[in-house]
Amino acid sequence: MRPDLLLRLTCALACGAALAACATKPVQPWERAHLARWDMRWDPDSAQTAMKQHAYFSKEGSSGTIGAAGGGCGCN
Amino acid sequence: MSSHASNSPAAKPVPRPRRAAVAMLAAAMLLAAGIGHAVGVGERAPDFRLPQLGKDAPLGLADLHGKIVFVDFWASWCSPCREAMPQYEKLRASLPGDGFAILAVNVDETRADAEKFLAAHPVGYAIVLDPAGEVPKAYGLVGMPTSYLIDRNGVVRWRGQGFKSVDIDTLRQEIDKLTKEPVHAS
Amino acid sequence: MLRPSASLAALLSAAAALLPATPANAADSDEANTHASYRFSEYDEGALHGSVVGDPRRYRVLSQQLDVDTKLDGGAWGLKLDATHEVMSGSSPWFVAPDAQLRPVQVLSGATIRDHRSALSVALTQNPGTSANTTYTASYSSERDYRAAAIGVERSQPLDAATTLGYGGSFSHDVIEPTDAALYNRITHATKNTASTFASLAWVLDRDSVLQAGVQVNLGHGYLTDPYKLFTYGADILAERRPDRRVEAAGLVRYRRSYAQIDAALHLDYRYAQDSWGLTSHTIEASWYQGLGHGWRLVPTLRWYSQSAARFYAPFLAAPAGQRYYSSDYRLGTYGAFSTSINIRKAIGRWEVSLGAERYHSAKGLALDGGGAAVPALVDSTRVWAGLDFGID
Repeated sequence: MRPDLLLRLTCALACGAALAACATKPVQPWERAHLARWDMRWDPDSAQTAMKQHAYFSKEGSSGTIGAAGGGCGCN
Repeated sequence: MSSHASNSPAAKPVPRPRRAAVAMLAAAMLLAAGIGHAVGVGERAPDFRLPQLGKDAPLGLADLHGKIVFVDFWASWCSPCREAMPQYEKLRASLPGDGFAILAVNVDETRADAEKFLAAHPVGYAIVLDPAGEVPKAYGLVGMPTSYLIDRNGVVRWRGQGFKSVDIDTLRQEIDKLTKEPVHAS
Repeated sequence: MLRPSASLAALLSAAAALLPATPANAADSDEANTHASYRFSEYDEGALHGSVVGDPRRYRVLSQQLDVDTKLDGGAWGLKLDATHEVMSGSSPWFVAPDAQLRPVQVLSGATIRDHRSALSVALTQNPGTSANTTYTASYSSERDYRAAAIGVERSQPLDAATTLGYGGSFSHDVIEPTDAALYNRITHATKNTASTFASLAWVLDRDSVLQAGVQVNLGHGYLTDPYKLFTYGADILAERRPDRRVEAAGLVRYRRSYAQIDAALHLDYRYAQDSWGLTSHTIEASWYQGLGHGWRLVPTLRWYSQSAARFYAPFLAAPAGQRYYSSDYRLGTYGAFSTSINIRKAIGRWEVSLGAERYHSAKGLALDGGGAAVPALVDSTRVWAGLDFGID
């Protein structure tokens, strides 16, 4: 690929990505009221998720959620 | 990268597409960097004046010149503030005289949220309201909560990101040190 | 006596809890509060219908879990302890035999068994609540025929004001010592090692929404077969055989959208997984968090799961042709499952009481591609649970 075409493509991608990320203004730390709510956590009830994932793991073929994985079961 | 020979060598002005691309990239990066610069230790604390909760007259940093001021940015949704603010109140109450003042800037969009929080965690120091978020922007806050200890000459001498209980001891030591320093004419 | 070992590494449970608790940079949190939660749940599988030999009453699990989460050293460290105890009983699929018309007949294990499982996991986090932190985990799970120990580490760090990177790895060593080994001519002792690694990115999209995307790779090596299951191989009934290696790759996307003006939020998760045994799966889960005022919350959830069979899955092989691996375990077959659940919560001061129920139904027709070999003994289950939390914000 010609150097200036590569540069153009890189700039287009970088600018596109940066502008997409800032398509609306970036969210400032003091504007995070809604994101701080309990119901906006990735896992609001982690104890329940643990039990739920355990049940699914023992009756399904896949290993479950993202995060550290390990053995612990003769069932899969 | 490219195996093709580059275009002609030698003195040639930077082609327009390249200049435009660089300008766009710079603009995008500035946008991405967010608002301006984060105020740090050793810098002058930007002045502000905001409406005060429970009082008619607004309050600003300039009104407190000559005192050691602790500026704390907080919100009702900020969970460390539940622990932090009562501790700041205890610190303030334990220091003699009126050479030290706390100025807490609330950034809740709704005043009622701030009042509800204060009903549950009452404090005796000044609370000012900035729902538009202009003052945190001026200070270049990168997280919530953030607090600044400002000396009697209006210079930031300590900045706290978040809250840890050890901060109270650190603040006590800093305030003690700053009390001994001279005041320059403003 | 046969029974499945329905235990998952406490590490997986702990890990689910370790993913960043708050979206990127919501607040630098140094909650000096101690949080504790207690959960009790009962899981019951529905009786099997259709051609069945043996006690059709399936599995029942009563489990309890206690979690304690506290800060140490003035907030510099976070410590989380999880203790689980389960009591399992019931019969389980043993093997599948063809009837005279070569239709599958599920044979279940005989008498009901009882087993206990205990697990403990520990997670130590440096700089908890800030967006840059490291967590070290260790866990141990033990039951009559199975022990597992695992360790892991994961890191979370902000790349910029709106993006957080997460990555980590873990390792688990499991020991299997089946019960009644001599009686049923089973292996007496085997081990299995699993290593896994993951990476994820989380973005704050706007004031009301966040998105996370991650990938994970698991490598299992050792004894990966179920020592209690048999397989009808032609005229013989042999112990099932699975490969001694398994590589699984998975991708996950999670979206959270706040509707704070109506005190609600939407959660959407999608996971795709593929492994070296030929099994691929899709999982879609959607939850709606609705505040009802006065500390009440209602959370309905829908989940759809679909998997395609492992290459060596078959209910039986009437005319085997030298297959090296074979298993009739329904959990390796092609099927889908749909579950609906509801959770009600009430906050009282710093306490929270919660109740939940889930109904899970699996069927071949629910799979994305419902073809392939029959999967007898697909499970329907009900789970009810109650919880108590202390130290909520």
